[in-house]
Amino acid sequence: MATINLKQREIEAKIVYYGPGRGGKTKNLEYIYKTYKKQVTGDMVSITTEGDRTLFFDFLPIGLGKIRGFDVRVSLFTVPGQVQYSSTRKLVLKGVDGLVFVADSLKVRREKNMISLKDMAQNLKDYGMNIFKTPLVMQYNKRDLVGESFPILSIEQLENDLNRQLKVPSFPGSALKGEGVGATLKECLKLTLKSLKRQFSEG
Amino acid sequence: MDVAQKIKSLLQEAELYRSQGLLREAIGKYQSAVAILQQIEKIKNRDSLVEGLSRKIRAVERELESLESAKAAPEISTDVQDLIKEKFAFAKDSLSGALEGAVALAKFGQYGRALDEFRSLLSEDAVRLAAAKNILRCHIARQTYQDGVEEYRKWAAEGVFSSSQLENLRVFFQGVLDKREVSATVAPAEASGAAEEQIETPSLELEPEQAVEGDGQEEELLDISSIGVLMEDGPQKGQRVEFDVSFQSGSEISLLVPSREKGVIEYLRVGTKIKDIAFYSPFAMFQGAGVVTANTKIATGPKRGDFSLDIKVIGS
Repeated sequence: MATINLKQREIEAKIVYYGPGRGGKTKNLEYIYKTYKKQVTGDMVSITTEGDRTLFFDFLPIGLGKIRGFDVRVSLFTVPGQVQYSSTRKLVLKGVDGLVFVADSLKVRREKNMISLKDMAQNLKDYGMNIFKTPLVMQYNKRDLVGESFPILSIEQLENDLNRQLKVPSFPGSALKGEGVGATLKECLKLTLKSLKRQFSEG
Repeated sequence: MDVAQKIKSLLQEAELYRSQGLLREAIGKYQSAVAILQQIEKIKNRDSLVEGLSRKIRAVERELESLESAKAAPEISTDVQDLIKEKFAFAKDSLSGALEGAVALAKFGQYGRALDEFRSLLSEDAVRLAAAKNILRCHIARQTYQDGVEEYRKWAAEGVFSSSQLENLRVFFQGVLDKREVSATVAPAEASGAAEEQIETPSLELEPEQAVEGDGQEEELLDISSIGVLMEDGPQKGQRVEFDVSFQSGSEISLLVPSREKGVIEYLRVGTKIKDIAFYSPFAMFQGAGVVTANTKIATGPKRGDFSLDIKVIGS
């Protein structure tokens, strides 16, 4: 849940990058850290284990400047994607305002994408949130592998697997090359701020 | 696609997956290539190719093993611990926030720092009991049971807790020790050691037990030491199977299920609603229902291969 300090005219929101392990969540944040220097307000914190896998989370603070007189700050987090870190994932999700689901376009990860999305929906539900009512953007990552000789899921297959019911904005991406990273984040920020505005105007 | 091309393509896939850290997928592709090679006798150098691939498989398996045996919760820097404390505390009042921050540290396995934080909260009436119980939980998680017993003894001698609070803590801790067959006794506090009842915690906006959970929305359950699940399906259908509770966070409990209990693990899938659960606490036994929220194979540590199940209690 975002915090709003009316006195100091500050809004602090939380966006979480969710998805299966090795899907590119950390790469998204690394690209944002490298590229959007003006918006980044602090160091990126990564807590990794062997093999550079996210153990607890990655964290990156960004600032969007003044929006309608409010200083808007956003904490970007990633969850650990590996199946065994279920309780950490849930903990990181607590208080989330907006979500980016980073799906892996590799065919061998098809089932993992679906399991991870289901896990996210369940964790949201446990916090009394509804996936259909939470700002969410899909990113179909690793599109740089299209055209090479590897089995890749088409955008249509990914949409059908993951976004048939949700119908949220989706973007093809290559976090490695930075493609689609900015567009995904911008859309998520837009939806999140819109949702926060609605929540606060409803009281 | 001819055989050579098929094998080449499998190996390219395997290398890609390996480079991306998708080690199981890489092993699968190497194995498929080996299987094809073994079916065709005519291929030149077949045996050396198979041997080369087997070496690769073993190397990836070693990588996987080293990943799986990595420490699950290493000690992290003070700065990052501070970040956890700050970013995972959501309560508006500072004491509940401090308690939530300490709980988050414990949940991330930073027990040393969490203990320091909980101890600093023992001086606060509003969260004293919750902080003390969490100190004991940290000792339980670290298996430093004797330290927990010593700490309890110190509290009893200092007289900062009321006698009912001390008894509450003692019964909780002794219950866990007994369940785990730890031969340690938490001696009841002598009446003179405990503070008089009149210094009992004043009325609070947030109950200390709720503050442990941070959101104050969940109804706090008694500390549950074990449960009995009436199996509605699977090989043990109709039987009540008992499990020890390894961790409790508000209305969510975690169980450890040995890998040999395949039927139970299969039946208690995520989303399964369990209509009949007997909950055993050191204070009472009660009936209720629950839903399985996680069913995860433990990949590291002494319980590797066993399963960790989370059950959310949905009614009692």
